[in-house]
Amino acid sequence: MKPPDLPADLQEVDRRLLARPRPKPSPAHRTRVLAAVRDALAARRLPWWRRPGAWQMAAAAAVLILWVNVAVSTFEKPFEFPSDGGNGHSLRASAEAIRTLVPQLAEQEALRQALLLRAGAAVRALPRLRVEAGEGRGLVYPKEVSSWVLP
Amino acid sequence: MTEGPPDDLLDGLVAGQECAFAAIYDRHGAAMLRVAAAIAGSREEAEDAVQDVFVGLVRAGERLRAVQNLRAYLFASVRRAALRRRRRRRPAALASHDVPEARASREAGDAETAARLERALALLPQEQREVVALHVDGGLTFGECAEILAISPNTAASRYRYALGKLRDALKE
Repeated sequence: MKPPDLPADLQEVDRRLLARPRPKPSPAHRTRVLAAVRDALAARRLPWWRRPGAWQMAAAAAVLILWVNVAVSTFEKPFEFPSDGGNGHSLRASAEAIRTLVPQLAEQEALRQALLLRAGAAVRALPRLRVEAGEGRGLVYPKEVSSWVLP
Repeated sequence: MTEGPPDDLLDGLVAGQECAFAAIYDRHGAAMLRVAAAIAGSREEAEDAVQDVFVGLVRAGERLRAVQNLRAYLFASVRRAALRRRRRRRPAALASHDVPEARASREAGDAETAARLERALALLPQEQREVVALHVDGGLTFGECAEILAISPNTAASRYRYALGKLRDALKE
């Protein structure tokens, strides 16, 4: 198929292109290609862990998985130690506030009270479960919580 | 696409029979090498590109069953491989765009025209050079070129016409 209405000068270029010397495959190239095919076929028949590059691929995948794990855990739990107990007040500020209310408290005692306050704020309510002995050897756990242990 | 391989040849490739690969080389190897040389601009790169394609066929394995037309698949693969090789080459090496056979011909006669044609081919835009390579060196129709390049047959024919015009101008200079 030729482009329609190809003028004579372009037809001449087309003819020159077809007539120009072009590379021909040599027997050595055929041998080389088929040898490469043979090697690739031999590699294909091996179990995956014995194929060329399999360990590199596995190592790269492991590094990627490790990186994703570290990245996700870092994003979710940043490595920081909350100096203010997470409530917006530093321990010393809390102690100062306590001493303002109770001026007769010693500084150390005010700090101790601030620490106790912080510890109390971090305590979670827990269900108070009444466990009873069952008819057999096992224990019976109630389905509903009767009361809560509050901080 | 008009030419397709017999099913047993495709089956042979999938099964990893070396004789099937040899048959494919004997049938399409010469055209693949010409296309690769025209795109990559060097015989050495072209030979490596053709080898890449055959190794790729081995690695494709069962995926080859999805191939509708092996000839189109081969030329599309050799085009990609040659482009990859061309990108890896240094610009200085690209400027020469030479193949030994062309060099020998120039020494024999019609040297100036052959040299100018090779230089002009190397300076064609890639999209036009690809159509020239597939049509002239691969012997593909514009419909087949269009399928490989994901363009319309009319666009392929237009690119070829533009390429011929540029080559004509280069030969006149």
